Amino acid sequence: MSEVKPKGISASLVVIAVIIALIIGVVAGYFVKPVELIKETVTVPGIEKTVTTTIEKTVAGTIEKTVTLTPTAIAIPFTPPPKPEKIVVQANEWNQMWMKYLAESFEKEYGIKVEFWSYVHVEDLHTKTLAAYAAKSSEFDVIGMDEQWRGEYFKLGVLEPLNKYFEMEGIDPYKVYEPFLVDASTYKGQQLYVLTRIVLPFLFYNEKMLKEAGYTSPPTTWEELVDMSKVMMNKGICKYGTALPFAKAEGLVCQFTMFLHAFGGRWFNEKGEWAFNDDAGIKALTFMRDMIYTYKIAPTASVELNDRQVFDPLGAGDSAFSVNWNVFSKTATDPTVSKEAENIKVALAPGTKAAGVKSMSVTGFFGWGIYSLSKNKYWAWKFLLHQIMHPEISIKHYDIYGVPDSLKITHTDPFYKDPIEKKYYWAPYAVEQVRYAASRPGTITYYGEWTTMMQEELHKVLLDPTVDIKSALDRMVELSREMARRAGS
Amino acid sequence: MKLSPFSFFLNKKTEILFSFPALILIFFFIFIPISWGLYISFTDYSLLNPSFHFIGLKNYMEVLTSYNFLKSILTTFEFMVISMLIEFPIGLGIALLLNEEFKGKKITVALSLIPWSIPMVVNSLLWLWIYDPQYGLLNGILYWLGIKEYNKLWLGNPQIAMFALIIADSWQVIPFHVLFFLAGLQSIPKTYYEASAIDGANSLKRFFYITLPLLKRVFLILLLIRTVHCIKVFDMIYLMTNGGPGDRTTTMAFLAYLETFDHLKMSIGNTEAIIMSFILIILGTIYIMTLY
Repeated sequence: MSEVKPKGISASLVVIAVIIALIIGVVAGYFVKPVELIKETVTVPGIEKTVTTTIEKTVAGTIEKTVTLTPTAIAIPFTPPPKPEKIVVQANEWNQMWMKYLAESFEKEYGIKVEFWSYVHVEDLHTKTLAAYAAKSSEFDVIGMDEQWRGEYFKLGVLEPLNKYFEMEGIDPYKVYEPFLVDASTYKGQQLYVLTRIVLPFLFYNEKMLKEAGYTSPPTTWEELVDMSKVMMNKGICKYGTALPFAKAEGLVCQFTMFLHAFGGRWFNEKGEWAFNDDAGIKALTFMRDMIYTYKIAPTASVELNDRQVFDPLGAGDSAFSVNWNVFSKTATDPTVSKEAENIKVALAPGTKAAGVKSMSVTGFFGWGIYSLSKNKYWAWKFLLHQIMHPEISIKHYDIYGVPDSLKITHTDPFYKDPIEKKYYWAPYAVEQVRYAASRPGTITYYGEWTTMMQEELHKVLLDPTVDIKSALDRMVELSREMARRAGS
Repeated sequence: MKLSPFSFFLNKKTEILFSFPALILIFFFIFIPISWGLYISFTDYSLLNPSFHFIGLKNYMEVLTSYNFLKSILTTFEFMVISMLIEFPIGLGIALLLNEEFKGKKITVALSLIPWSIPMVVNSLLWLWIYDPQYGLLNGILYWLGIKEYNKLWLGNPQIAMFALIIADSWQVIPFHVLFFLAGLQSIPKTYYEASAIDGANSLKRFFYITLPLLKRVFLILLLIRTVHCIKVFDMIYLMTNGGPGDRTTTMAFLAYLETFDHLKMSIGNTEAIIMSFILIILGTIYIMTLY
């Protein structure tokens, strides 16, 4: 009987198996690269950005690292849509002045033409945008917008929320922009647009006049401003303390916003109902009117003056103070238009002793958003993103408008900050003023109608010193609530 | 003989053919927009609520019972009546003077037309500077004359603002009246005056019994043109007062603009515009029935 040997794996079979495995391994290794996703922080043009990096391990054991700013490394692969020939930006002429620099750089970098549709007045932009949206027109991609339209635009869905775009790029807007500006452009958790510059009033004063009166620093409260004005007027240093922009215009609502909050008031109560007719509201409006008729530190002509006109007496040396928009900083310090150019200095807008408010201003922000019916949303976003990637373009806001841009880096990095502050001494005040500023009720969906009513009613109070302020405010609140009821909010 | 429509067409086919391009333009650019506006006035259309619902006469009821609209009608009529009371006598007076023969007459007529040739926007900006409460020409003159209260508010004072607007408007429009009256005066045959002089009529009688009756048609045309201008006055108010002080100079046209483009209530704005047109038609009919 022959011996049966147990079946074993012959050496030759083992060799063949090893060879096959090696071949399969090499082939698989060649075609299939295991991908591991990790996150790390990378600094890109001076801005801290969290981007996803891909680490690829090859079978040969070597590691290649690729850093990408596009969202391709996100779990869901993303392919950018094809580049359009052009993107269309719609805004009024004044607001486009800076945007054109951004467009030039964008065109160079991406090869996409940026076309501008211009309107003279900012109000036209509002009407034209809504009319185009109602007609389902998709002819433009980026739209300019004033902060008080955000309630309307949100309700109608005119703007494409930007949250997902920021997430896609791995950018935290609070780290890139001044946080207040992010809050101001966000509604119900949706960031609707980006703000590119800081516009708000602060205090302009004539340093020479103050010194003549024996003051070493500007007033920090409105009460102090009144007292100082009276002293200077009595000494014949100035004709009046300040001229006030109380003409029947949007500026009047801005003024009331500022005084209302300076006296500790608010537009709405905790329930979200109109409530500016409380004690603080009465004090605010009374103070506004008293400056003209009781303290007599402002000319009666104030009820006819707009924001620009109140600058004339300051520049002519007739008044010592003006709480006015920072866009006038360049004009105020330009000797060709202001007789007192070299004496005019700036400080934080006054607060009030009565309410213990350190300083109070009002925002006049203008932003840029992606039109929700745009066919080029991704490239419209890239255009808005271009500001973040190019602080050197962003700081042109100083040269064009005399106001700070919205990027945090240009306010903190000495590379940008130092030369700006050397050239424009007033620059840091606007950035600081942002911390003490209130907004108009731009979240309501009936702002156009509301502001017309407020302008009329406030103007009537300021025109006539005998009008009862409590009754007038009660009426304004009643009309506001009626509008809210009709708007279903 | 009365022609049937077909015979009329055959008879007038050349005229109809030539007027066809103009009729097409009128149809597309006047008839359709007006019809569309009329339709919108029966809906609840608003840019903030872009949906159309037919709501019948609800907008008309709302507008005609609205305090703001009724007040704007009064304001518009105030503007119209006072303007005409100023413009007609002054325009006629100047035209009577220019109708006389004197040296330099032609150059005087040409110069008197300058204000009318200035665009309304420029005129408004010019008067804004004249009325400026701080550095305006008017206050400057008063100050120079030693009038104590020189720092007057012109456009910011509810008692004065309307009158200030009317002066600015009249300054521009009076030359237009002068031109019309002058043309009317020159078309009156001189023989009428000569005959009346022989009959012993003095200049006052000649004015009331010859000049005025023969200028009736000129009055009618001017009344119609100025009524339309005054009822639709907008640009000057937009630029000079923004409807203020308060709502003192908010006219019908300005209110319709606010409702449409500021409040975005297309239906209410259109309703107000349609009512405005009806007022114009009624006034026009009255003028023609009385003066034609």
